[in-house]
Amino acid sequence: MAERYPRLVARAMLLTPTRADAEDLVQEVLLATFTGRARFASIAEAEAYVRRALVTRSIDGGRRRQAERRALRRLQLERSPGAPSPTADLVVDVERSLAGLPPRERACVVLRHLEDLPIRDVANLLNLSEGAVKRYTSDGVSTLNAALGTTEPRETAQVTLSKEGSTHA
Amino acid sequence: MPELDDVLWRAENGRTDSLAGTAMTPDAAATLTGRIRARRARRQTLQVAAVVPLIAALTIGGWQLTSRDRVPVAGSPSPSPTAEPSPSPTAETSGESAVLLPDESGLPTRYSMPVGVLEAAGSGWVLATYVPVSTQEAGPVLVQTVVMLASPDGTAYEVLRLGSQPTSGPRLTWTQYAVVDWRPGEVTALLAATPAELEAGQMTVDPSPQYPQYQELNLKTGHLSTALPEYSGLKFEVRRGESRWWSDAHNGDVLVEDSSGLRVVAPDVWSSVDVSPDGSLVLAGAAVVDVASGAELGGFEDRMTDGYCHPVTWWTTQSILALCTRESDAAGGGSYADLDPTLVVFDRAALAAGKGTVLRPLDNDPVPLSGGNAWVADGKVVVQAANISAGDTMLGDVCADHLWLLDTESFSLPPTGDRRLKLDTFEARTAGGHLVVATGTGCGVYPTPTVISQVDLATGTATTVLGLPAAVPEGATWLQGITGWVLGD
Repeated sequence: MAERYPRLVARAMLLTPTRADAEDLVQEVLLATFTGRARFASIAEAEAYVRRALVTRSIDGGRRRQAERRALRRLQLERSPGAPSPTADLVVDVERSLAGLPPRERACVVLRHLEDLPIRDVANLLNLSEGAVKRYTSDGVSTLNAALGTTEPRETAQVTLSKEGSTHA
Repeated sequence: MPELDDVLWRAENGRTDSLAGTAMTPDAAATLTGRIRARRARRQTLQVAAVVPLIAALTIGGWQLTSRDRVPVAGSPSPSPTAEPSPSPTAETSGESAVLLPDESGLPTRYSMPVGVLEAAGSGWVLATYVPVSTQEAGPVLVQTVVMLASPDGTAYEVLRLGSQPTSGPRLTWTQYAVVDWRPGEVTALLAATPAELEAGQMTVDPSPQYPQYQELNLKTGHLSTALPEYSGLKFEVRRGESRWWSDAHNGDVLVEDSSGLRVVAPDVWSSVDVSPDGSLVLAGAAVVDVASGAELGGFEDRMTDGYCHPVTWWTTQSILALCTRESDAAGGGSYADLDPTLVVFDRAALAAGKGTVLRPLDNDPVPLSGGNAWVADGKVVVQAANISAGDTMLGDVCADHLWLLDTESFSLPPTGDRRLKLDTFEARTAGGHLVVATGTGCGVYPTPTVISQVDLATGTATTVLGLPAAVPEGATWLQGITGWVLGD
């Protein structure tokens, strides 16, 4: 259990520009989640809920988050000491590339490719149409592939319909 | 070329590794946990039991649950409360007169309790524990636990005081008692005992899973005795008739205690317990369980035909009122009101099918929140609810602004005896035709003492039965008065 906080912050760092923002986001989501109406059958389920809420919350940059931050600062919330810089350039490259995406593209990419959610679930979570999710995801993936030198995962690679209607990668 | 998914995973894992061993600072964790607990104060849901260990585990690297997590409760900036008038006592059963006791800091207006009053108490009477604590406390002080009994007409009697606990120094510590169960006519009550401390104006109550521990209090002699050892690690939830309901803070199980003993009804729930009015069904977390057979009849975990639904409370003895939205309220990004919140009733069959009966869409109505709600009669409930504004995106961000009486026709405001203007925590309980509500603040950062009122829906009147603590020390505010209360069935 103790290792879940770093993992949540790591997820948040894919969604926010700084570690401080990431910790703010994690704490904000924990507060909103556990004072809210969600009910969980297990701690694992709660963690999954928090992980997804990090993404949805990250694109809600409205006044509420600002208010929460102000409230936390009024309470003299201490920041934990800075972590050592990641040794792998990959981490920085990925975080920087994700940071360059528009918020909804970033959210769609993380939910589809890290959280492994179906398009319909992403649409429900983000309150978007399925078509919009496909578009955001496709645009985000294209940008990341160009920046990181990666390829689209095989199972989501573009497909063509045969005359019989079967699909081929 | 590497695949994007692999690169994303490696990056996230790499970042996680680089953060390994780091954790939220204890102060930040305590602040966060305190805010969660404050918002959920008086809601009495087991979610807290699941949440606090989770937060602790999430935030304190290598920290074990045997350590104590201190939860700060900040001082209240509210103006000093004032004593409320109390009617003259009418229950005199022994010829002995009740005597108006001198005003005392931290306690409401109260009378001495003549012999026979305890035995004469019936349905609608309230037994409560007061442990007055103010921001001004500084050692050496005596922490008092005062047990009070209040009749439905608002006469409060001082039953007894537990031995004062002397404490001194900049960090005051004591055992905090809260009454959790009692039945009119019985001379014993069940108390929850939890370590508490006050330091630099911040009060903390230990939320570790091994607490509270339970003790039986003899209301005549003041003698405390350890309750059954099986209660270790359990949290008292509610009494319904002859049955007492518990939840296990260690494994999330929901248990019932009746004439046959203590047994698990629903395992691994980690959430609240809401027993149906007749006691035959229990809403354990998101699942509805038949108490006799232990069979799960259905649940609210997944998307249902009516959308994403959360139970509010029992609508009838066999049906549940739920709040449904078009999408999950965790969606974020948009306004909650855009999700078309709708009240839907699910009976047993509908629950299994995931399809309920729409009671009403909540166009401009308050939105019921979970916890603190009560069934009054079939098709009539009292719920804590919030008026949603355009900027509200998640219900987790909002606090209730009133108790509402909801029936098949309308929302209406029941009266309360709490005259404070800004209240945001509410809890309603019913027993034997009596409706009693507890009101206060604490959904936001600052909790203030609870006021308990008897509500008469027929006449539209309310009587304060246990009011605010009197005589606040100059320059201080009360952090707490009532620590626990039981409505006699």
